[in-house]
Amino acid sequence: MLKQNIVLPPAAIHIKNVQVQREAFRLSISDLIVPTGEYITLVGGNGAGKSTLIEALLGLADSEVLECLYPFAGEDMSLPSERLGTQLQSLSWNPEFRVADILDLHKAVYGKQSSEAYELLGLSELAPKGIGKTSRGERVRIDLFFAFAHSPDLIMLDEPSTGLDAQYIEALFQLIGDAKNNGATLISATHDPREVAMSDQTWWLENGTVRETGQLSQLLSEHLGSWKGVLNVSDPSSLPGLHEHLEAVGHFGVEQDGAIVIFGDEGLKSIVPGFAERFDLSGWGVSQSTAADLLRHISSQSRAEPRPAAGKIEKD
Amino acid sequence: MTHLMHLTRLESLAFLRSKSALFWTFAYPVVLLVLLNALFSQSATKLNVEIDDLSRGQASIVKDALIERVSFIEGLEFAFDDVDNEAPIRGGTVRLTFDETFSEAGGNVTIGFKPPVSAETGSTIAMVSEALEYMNRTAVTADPNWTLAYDVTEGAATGGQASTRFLITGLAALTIITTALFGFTGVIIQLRDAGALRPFQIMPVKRRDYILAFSASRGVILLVFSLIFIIGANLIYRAGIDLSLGTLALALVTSAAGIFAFLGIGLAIAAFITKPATGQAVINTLNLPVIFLSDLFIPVSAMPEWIQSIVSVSPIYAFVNLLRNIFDGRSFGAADVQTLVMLFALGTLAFWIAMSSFKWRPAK
Repeated sequence: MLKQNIVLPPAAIHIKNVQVQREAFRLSISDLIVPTGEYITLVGGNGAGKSTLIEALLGLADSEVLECLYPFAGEDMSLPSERLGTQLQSLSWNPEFRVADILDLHKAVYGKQSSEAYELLGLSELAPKGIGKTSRGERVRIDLFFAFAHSPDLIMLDEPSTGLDAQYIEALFQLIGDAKNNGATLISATHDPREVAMSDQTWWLENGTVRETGQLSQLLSEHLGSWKGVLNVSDPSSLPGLHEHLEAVGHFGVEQDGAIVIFGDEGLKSIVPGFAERFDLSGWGVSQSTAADLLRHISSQSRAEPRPAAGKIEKD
Repeated sequence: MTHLMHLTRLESLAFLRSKSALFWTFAYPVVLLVLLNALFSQSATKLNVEIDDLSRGQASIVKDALIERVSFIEGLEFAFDDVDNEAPIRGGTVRLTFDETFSEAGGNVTIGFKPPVSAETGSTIAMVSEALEYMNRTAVTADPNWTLAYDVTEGAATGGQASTRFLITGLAALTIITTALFGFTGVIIQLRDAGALRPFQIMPVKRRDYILAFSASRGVILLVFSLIFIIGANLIYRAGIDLSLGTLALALVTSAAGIFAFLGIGLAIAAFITKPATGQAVINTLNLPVIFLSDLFIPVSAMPEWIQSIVSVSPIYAFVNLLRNIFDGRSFGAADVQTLVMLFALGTLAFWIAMSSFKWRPAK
């Protein structure tokens, strides 16, 4: 794990030990702190354990061991459901319920309800519908309302942007931003690079364990490089020569959408134009690496067998 | 308290929107009543006549005349049954007793029946009277050759009425038992299996609150339905059920006790069974004994003694019997109070088990 020489705010959650066994899969996570007011994204390939970790923290996972403290809740340190907001993929409602009915229930149970969340998520058009008649994206909007509408202190989200129209993805980001500004702690399992870019910390899960934690910039720097160069190759016959040359100078290129992408430090700014001139490239560019690059890297790592050592070199 | 009321409302609306729940709770008992009534009560198309013929076969003169009178009406016919003079008149029938002197030349016929008179019995009496009148007119004699006497036997009700009343109150009780025990248990098991109870686990909703809301919503609906069923069926079938205010109040309390007990047992079963297939198997296994114990289809008195001794201590039989007794207008005694106390005690125990063992999620 990356060492963080920073002073963390008080813990919202202290994960001492969580062990969940589901057939051949095992989630085993210990000694992690979720600082109060931080936004943490959980990333990793499918089956890495992101959703299971969230369900375990919520007490929904039949954990073998669940030693978890919630210091933000006060002396009791147990999960305070009235101060919790959740959106889970695995959540469903009685299909005979109408949307308006469960929104009323939300208000009755939590005692408050944000009209802004109602507007942002466009719930007025869904209110008369039966839950059983809603689409996946519409159900995510309803679940997001349940996660944010009572201004909870701790919000747990499981792939919240999945199935949403662009309009509601923007609404999601606004709700996340508002919750952060209000001091809420957020944990979100995601494959969306925009969420990762917004978050304070990213936890990289792999095979049921947390492989790395850190800020996006730290993870990029550690695993890929802060910069990336894109080389557009017009003549495929020149590819072997280009790869050979890149390896000779310590870079490995990844072929993406007809181009070769290399990662490195700021020195790429001078190296890439040289390649372009030498190999007569149809186009090139150098920019800072992004969350999308990290997620692509993580995805390729989760597919690779055996897992390669972490480094600056990536090859699909 | 506010969210308990909201939960109750939500659960009630969900139930009332479910077409299958509405059918099995509301429509199915009505369909069953119509079918069973058609099977077991006196047929509307058969005019039952008992013949006590002391005239050695001369009764056929009147029988033929009666048959002729309905021969042109499709679906309407006389069913004649030779009986012994000593046998009591069955409800829903008319008995014609032909004296020893009855012949083609004249004689007396006594027409016997038990009040109150149903439409079928009244029609038969009228047709017998008209047939003899016709015979007298066509005989062209000064005095009537054939005379008619009436013998009205004391009786509270016709057999048809008693049978229909037996069915109505029995079906109402059976609907309460089976719906509370199995209908709602199955719903909980299925909702849990589909993950539809998980939202409540995450929200600040206690298991106790959910169980109370679920039970209140279903209980009130079942209570209202059973009363509407009994009152409506009584009106339609003219079953002579006692519907005085006192009876209705006692029936309400008894139904509430039954719903409380059997819903509690159902929820306690649902607390331990988390797989729908297992739930279905348990329901199928218990359903048949419940129907037997209800005394609706097979009279308990016709069962072997050892079964009767089991039935006598069964809360199912006790509940069905108590509800029937109340609607029959029988006095409410200490034994009935005991039955009520037993049902409430059973319900309290079952709800305690359900609340302490209820699971929001399927087993691992």
